[in-house]
Amino acid sequence: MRRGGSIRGAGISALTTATLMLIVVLPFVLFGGKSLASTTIIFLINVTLVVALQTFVGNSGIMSFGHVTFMGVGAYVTAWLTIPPAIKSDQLPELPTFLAEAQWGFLPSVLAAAVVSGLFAAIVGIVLVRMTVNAMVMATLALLLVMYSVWLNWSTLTRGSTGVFGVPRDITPFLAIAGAVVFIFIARLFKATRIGLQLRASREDELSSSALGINVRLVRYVAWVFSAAMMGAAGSLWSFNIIAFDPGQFSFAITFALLAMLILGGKESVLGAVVGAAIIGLVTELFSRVEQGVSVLGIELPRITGTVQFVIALLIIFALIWRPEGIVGRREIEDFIPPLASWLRRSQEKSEDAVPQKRTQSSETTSQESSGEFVLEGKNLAKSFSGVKALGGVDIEVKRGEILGLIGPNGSGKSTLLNLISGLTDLDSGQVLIEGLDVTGLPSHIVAQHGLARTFQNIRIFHHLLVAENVFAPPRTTSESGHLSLKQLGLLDVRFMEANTLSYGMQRRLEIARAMGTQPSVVLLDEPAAGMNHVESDVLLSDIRSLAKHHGCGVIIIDHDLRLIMRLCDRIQVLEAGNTIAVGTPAEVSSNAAVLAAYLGDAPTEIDNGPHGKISITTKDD
Amino acid sequence: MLEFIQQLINGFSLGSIYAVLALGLAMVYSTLGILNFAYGELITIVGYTVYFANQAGAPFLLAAGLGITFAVVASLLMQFALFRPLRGASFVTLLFASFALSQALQGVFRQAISPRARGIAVPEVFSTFVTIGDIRIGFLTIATLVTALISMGILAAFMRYSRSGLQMRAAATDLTTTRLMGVRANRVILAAFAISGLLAGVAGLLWLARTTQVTPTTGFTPILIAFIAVVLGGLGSIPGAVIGGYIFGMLEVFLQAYLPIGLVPFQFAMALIAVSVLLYLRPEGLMGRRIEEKV
Amino acid sequence: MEIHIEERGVSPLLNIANLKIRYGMITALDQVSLSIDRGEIVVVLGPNGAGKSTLMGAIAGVHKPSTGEITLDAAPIPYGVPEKVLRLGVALIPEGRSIFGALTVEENLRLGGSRVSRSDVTDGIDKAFTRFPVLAERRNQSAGTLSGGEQQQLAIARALMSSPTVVLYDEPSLGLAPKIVTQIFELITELRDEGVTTVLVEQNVHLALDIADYGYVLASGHIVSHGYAAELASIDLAHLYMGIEAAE
Repeated sequence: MRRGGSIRGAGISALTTATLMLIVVLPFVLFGGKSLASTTIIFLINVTLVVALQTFVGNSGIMSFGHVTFMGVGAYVTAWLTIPPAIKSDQLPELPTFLAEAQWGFLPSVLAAAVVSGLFAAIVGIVLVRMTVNAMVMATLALLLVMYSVWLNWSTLTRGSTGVFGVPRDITPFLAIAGAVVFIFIARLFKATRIGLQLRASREDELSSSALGINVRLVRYVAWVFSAAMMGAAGSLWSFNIIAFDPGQFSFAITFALLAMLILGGKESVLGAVVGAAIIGLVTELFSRVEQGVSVLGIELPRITGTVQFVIALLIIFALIWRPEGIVGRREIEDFIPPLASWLRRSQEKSEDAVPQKRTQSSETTSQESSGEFVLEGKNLAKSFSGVKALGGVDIEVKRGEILGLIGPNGSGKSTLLNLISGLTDLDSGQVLIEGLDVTGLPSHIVAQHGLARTFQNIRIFHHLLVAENVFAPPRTTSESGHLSLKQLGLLDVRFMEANTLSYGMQRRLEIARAMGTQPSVVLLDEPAAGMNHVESDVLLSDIRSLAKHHGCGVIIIDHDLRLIMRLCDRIQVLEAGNTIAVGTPAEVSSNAAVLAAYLGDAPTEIDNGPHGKISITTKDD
Repeated sequence: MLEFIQQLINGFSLGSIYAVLALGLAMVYSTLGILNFAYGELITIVGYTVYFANQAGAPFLLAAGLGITFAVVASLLMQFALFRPLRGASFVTLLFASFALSQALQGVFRQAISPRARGIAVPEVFSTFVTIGDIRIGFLTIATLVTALISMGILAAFMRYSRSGLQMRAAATDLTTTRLMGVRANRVILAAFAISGLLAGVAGLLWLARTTQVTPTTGFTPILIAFIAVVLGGLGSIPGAVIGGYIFGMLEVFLQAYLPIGLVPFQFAMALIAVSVLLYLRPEGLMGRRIEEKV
Repeated sequence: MEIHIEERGVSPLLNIANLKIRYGMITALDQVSLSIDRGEIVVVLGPNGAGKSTLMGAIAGVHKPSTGEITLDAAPIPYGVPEKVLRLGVALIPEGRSIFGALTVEENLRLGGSRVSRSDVTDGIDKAFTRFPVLAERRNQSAGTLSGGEQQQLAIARALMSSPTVVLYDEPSLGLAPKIVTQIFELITELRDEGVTTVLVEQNVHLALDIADYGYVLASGHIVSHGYAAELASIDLAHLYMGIEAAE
């Protein structure tokens, strides 16, 4: 299976999808007569609209109810620029002079529509992107409403509910096809870019993508603006076909129809968008005929009423219950054509495996050149939750190449400490230094960008991305370091598989590979072997040891399997009730009475270890 | 000054409708984490019920009672037909599914009844005015305020003092632990939907009394406002939803009253922009909690 | 502490046979079998991540087993439906107490009596206040303002409202001062003497074995050891917990 992937691969994928669409569409255009050609043009324009929507919704996972706004912006910009001045002055007498006299051509208008929509989205996006995902969805709804109201009431610019007419009918079947094909390319390529990948990672797991350095807000913002520009261009194309429109067009009916197409087809895939558009187009066609009893030509999307809308709604509800990922699921066209998929895979492999290996040495030397003995210093770190002290002034430091084990009973504050260091939780007091640089209080993605990587107790890989995509998503990961990481953790053979399909042990390794690929100075591993059996965890932990030495990074590892901690770590720090009660070598710590008391309870007794030797602790009788 | 007080009362009154509505939405959200888009259609259902009751010659109170009853029934049906089969699905899937249901219902109303508005008969007393000192207030305005406050008061008392109310409050905080106490999850969920329907019924009546007509899309605007109120107040906070409703009502009335003439048509847009600014400053809503995610 | 002479496990009150629980890809419990006789205090020990809480959750109906059987008085418990399990007389006091901070002390107690008639609830609350006078003092305070020890008392009192025959305690000593912990453990023993069969998950090995009759040791989802409390107290649990291998 293969998704995302290199730009070249994406290009070929887009080409194939476009070709497929053409094969289906061309007969209608060439031989179908005027009415069918007209319906087909509408379908093609729908494709551009849905694909523009998919670029944001599918990659970010954020359902936008407001994208139709940009369609409207594009349409009105086109109207202002292209309606012949004579007709324009009748409808919109108070239009600013430069618009009133304008009569632009097709392409410039489409581009202008894209630019204006993009600018508008850029402004709105600043507010939007600060919100949590659920609030953002609601905000896009608000956007739709606001703009609808604006269009309805700003008569000088829009002629209110009467609407405008007179956009030149410049859309030919060829232009519609060209438009759809271009959009398919753009969307498919976007998905394969670094930003597209990071966006998809944030969709899978916002928390861990941030913890690996991805600036989630930024990538969402970029996608928002980009897809809005596409939507504006699509709206422009649409207006060139429909000639006349009013604000009622840019409201819920079409929002619903477009979202329906996306969901039905599969919102995470460009192919899905096309398929969804086709299906809804078909349903619309069929049921409109049924509704009106007469063969009807050119069903315009916004005028869906009655039966058609009802049927689509039912389809959506059933789809959501029984196949929420859509008909096509997450797959692109190449996943349906195995030979194509394996050809793409092989050429990708070839280009990656040719990566010069000399780079690996340079990463080692770089780390040795860095100043300072400590990769991480935490001083006086403290945190309370609702008045309850979780961590009270803990110091921690890790040397380059050192493995520090962090242990302690349940509730001792280990995870909180990791969260403070990595910037996931705000600290109440204290200081965190990475390679001597003060990162106290910085957001987690910036801390990560300074050379910190981590894994999580509950595994947080990007489940529906490929193994390779998981590793290459973070910004600090280069093609060399990522490739090396895959190799060192034995994941090269499965790099094109979806992360979900891996065994649990492999998924754990993937999480580590993803972290190591960022060439970190310090790595935090939160129970990396949890859920593994002894054999798997032994292997994993010895791999961690060699990785740490090779990369010259410092490692902090939390685990409850103390047997392994004792064997793996250079030093161990023991927490209890938010404070450090012991720091030292495994031997020192394991014979420390206070530590034993913390784990086993008070009144430590003499413990006989049997034939291998005795560790005795003096009993304290009270 | 007098004008100001008058507008204040109007704002309170309109805000009360929004508050009751938002409350109904928030009840289901806090128990189940679902925002029901088809909630607005409950208002439309009240409207058509009252319409048909009018046609049949029923007196207003009876029509109103029937309307509320049907709203409750419809709310329960929604739970059975849509939300139960989709239990466990993501927030957005559920939102969109309820959006689809909303569109489907609107389609049904359009086809089965009529796309055109139908008038609703309300008692004449609603159009009268009451004079207190120098202030002239619509009877309906006062009736709305009083009804809404009484409804919310009864609900608050129910939640505070009854066994079911206690169970629902607990369930909204932590459903699993509540079940460990022996509370049946299904009962709590049904109660939430029933109360939600009741509130939509009351708010719907008050809304319809103002507009005196029902169309297939009647429920649509109020539900959007309820959504905004809930988000403004902070998703998951029940008092927040009420406050959000009042704020929006006030905003709407004051913008209407004090905006320069040219901008009046944009009042709704401006209200939304004001809300957006508030959310920018405080993304989790007025009374929302920043959720510390467990890593 | 007496060592039971009668044969245990012959007709257990609570029996868990070959329990397997998976979360997605992780197997949390595998081939876990326990039996608990009427009137016993059975303790479940083991390092973190061993699956102790999952086990409690499974008995209480929070988790559904993939395979295996849990029976109460030889009848299978309703898997995955916690409210039904409570009805049968098994009450779980979750880790971290899980009281409702925003509700008052009295409301929390009432909640515990959700499946009980109103008059029994009133009686139950009176009994709770008699046994725990500090709760009576704070009856109208928000439970969130109580100290850790008081919250633990509340959690236990709440569980007792339904007059359970079996009580499951998940790490009752967590985060509590030693003196309070002693009090809690005395309470647990008292309740057992009044007829409450007890299953106790604890990290504090010594205290637990002090009051327990029998114990199971869980590690990485498996039972690795079990025996009467006296036996367990003498084997080197340190080896298990600390991984101490002297010849390293």
